[in-house]
Amino acid sequence: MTDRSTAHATFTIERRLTVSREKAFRAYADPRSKARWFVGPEGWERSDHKLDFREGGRESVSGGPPGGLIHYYNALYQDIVPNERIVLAYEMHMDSTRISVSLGTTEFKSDGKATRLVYTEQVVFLDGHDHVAAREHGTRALFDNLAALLEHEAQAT
Amino acid sequence: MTAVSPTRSVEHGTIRLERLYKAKPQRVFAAWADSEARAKWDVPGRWVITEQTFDFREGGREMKRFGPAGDPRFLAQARYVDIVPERRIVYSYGMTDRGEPISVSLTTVEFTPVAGGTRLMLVEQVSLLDGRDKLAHREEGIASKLDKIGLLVSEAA
Repeated sequence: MTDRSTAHATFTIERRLTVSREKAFRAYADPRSKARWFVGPEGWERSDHKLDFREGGRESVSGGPPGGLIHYYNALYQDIVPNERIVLAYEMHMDSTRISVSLGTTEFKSDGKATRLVYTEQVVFLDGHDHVAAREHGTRALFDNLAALLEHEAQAT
Repeated sequence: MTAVSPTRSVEHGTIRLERLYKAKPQRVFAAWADSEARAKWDVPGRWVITEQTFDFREGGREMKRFGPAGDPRFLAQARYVDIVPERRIVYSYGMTDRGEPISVSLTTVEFTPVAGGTRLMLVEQVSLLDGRDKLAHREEGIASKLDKIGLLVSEAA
């Protein structure tokens, strides 16, 4: 019998973004914008990013290093308050193995003309695959992408 | 006067509950998997379910309308993410109270065979929304349901 186990964890990441929360929210809601920053490390191959941004809607994307394991992300949007909050549940697979399920809450808070983004992930890792330090590291890289994209857009206008 | 928009807030929490049942994992798991069995316990205390759909499979979605007798104000919408027969169930669900969101949860249920029965471990990772529910209330509700499972599975097979 396969060894079954679970490990539960919670981590929080905060970022100050130099744009309004309307603009920050748009980077999540607009499929073209989201596809620009919601990507793996440089050099990874990736599939098309699919996003149906509404409560009950789905999002999926897969990718990985050339010749390596395919990372597959599959999300369900649970709660959306425009410009304020997004709650989703997502699962990660490595090739055909489900490695984790998460609840991700993103809060957009006004901070003068800027936005304070607070992301909290409540996650269960399955059967000893992956761990919280790696997940937090990978997630921080996504927020680096987001901050860089928004900074770039702010300078272009 | 302009309408005051509701103050948005999120409180994250984790509920851990454990029960020992004098029944085999197969029987305890069936309390979740079998729709007739689940309809008997899937609501806290004396509350009632007025409408419920079942789709117990990975990717399956279910809805449940429930509340105090005569006031079925709560709606839960769930999606099963990971199901390992007689071992584990992982699902996410969102809940509303008269149409207003109150929480989104990620729930892990594990069934382990022990001498004389089954140990059930339930971990609920929850985002409580806009101050409409409390962690202690949620825990009380889930505990009540787990106690009902105990009565159900101890009935003569």
